[in-house]
Amino acid sequence: MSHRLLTLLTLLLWGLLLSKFWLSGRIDSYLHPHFHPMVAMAGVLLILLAGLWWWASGRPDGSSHDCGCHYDHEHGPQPRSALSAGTILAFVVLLVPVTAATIVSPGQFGEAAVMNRGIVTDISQLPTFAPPNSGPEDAPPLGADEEIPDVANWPEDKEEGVEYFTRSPDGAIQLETIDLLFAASEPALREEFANQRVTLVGQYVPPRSDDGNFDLVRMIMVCCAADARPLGVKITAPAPTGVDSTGWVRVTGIARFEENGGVFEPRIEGATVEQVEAPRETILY
Amino acid sequence: MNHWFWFSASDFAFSFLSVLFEGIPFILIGVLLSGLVDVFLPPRLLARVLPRNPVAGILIGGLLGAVLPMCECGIVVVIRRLIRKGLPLSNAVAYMLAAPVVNPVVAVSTYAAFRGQGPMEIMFWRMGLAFGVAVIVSAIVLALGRAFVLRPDLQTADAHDHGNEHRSAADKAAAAVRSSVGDFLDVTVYFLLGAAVATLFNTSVNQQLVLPLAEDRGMAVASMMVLAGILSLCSTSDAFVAATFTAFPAAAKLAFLVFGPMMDLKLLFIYSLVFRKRFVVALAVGLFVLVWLACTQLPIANFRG
Repeated sequence: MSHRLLTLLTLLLWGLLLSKFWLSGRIDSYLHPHFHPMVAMAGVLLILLAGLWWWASGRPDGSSHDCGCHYDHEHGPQPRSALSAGTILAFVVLLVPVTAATIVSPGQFGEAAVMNRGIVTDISQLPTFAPPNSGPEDAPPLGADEEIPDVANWPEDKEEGVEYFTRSPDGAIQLETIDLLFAASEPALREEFANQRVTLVGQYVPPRSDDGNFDLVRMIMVCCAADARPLGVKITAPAPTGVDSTGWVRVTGIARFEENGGVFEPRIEGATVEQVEAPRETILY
Repeated sequence: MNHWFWFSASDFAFSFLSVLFEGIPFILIGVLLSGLVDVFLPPRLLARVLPRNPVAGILIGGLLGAVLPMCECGIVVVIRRLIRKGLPLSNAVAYMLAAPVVNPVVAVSTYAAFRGQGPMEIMFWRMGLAFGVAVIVSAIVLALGRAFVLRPDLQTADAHDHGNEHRSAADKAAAAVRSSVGDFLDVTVYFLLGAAVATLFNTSVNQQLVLPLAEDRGMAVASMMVLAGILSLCSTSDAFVAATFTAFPAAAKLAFLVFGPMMDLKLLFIYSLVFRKRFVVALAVGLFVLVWLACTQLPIANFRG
């Protein structure tokens, strides 16, 4: 197989891989949506570049001239035809790891990554967290078509607090782990959510001690899965049987908040646990 | 959890792919730009337009990112081409080290990430320190000379136009494509190797082990720099991660933000495309010492508000 053909295959593989991840929506678990257009663009560009490469590498260089220079160099980058051991190794590096990773990758993190990154139970440890008491100077700028809300005359039917969230058919408030951690950081929200029946979906992390708790975690990313952090809520319930570590479960129970070293942490008591399908976005943004 | 190492192939594969998907588009932009530079930028043009005074050239190189922003993955292949086209080495190093930080995108992301932690102060300290470190390192590179720093194949700038003036438009386009593809294969090999090593640390090493180091300023600065080197984050987003280390002093977070975009595990590999291995090692050690000294000796307060 020639260098020209291997190069074509490499560009096509990378282009098709990026395009497939984007088209199938699989990219959702890997990158923040801000980067999705970049991936789509790169996929298309690499496929185009593969075609252009086949055209360009088949053309004569067109630079033959007598420049009289004394340098030992090629006149214009030409496709190398011989396949040295180093070149073959380079193509192995270009093709094998990414193919293997695509096959092996489950599209979500397992227990090893969760434990190595440490379960976050304090919202202030979260990337992009802004303190609730930030001043108006920290507020994001208003868009051209936005107006400053009239808080003094806020309509009574406007949703806020627990009413902001939808409820499951049995009346439990549907939350993410991040919502409970945020509520824990705000006295008013703590008061509002405490003793409410809530339901959360996340990854099950087996108990690490005999205190009758396990963790329910949901990963959250800033840019890509490599920077994702697990946000965890303690669940007081027997460990579910038949659920693998970091398998997906729905937990429904009563929300409590407990002070631990000056930080309030949420916990779900009296919980029922059921196994569910993994959501489309295994990592939140 | 007291373990320090726990490897999982599926976690590795997942994180590895996410790093590749984030980095490859930027590398692609870099190599396409590099291909155009190769074919369409006349040699010696840079020499004509840049100041002859090397110090002025370094200062301009350090600020070039403000108008030509590039991330650390894409910039190496661009400066390789610019060096071949006659850009003075010290100017190129100043641009390479400073541009991933001293640019408007990173300024905005740093400000946004540090809301409530003195965003303006952190942003200006980050830009200023990165610029200062880039200028100092570039001045040292100027003194060291090309033979010590550059790979042998880059030590002589192209003295002529490789026949571009004789080429038709189609021939020039074909040459630009060949050049871009060659660069893409070169830099992607190094990027893959670096990403693999970074991912191994990122997913397998217990990151909780660095937290006790926050109490001593010197140790905190050093450990955050090591962490930045291991995590190999993109400079456009690393501030959001740094801001979460609330137990660490601002000086340590600044060290993370200045050192990471200049030197990390993947860059160790990518820099080998341009520089001799001994220089890459010297650069890593020198940057570590410089940034550590700056962040431990300068009066950097813990900003609030």
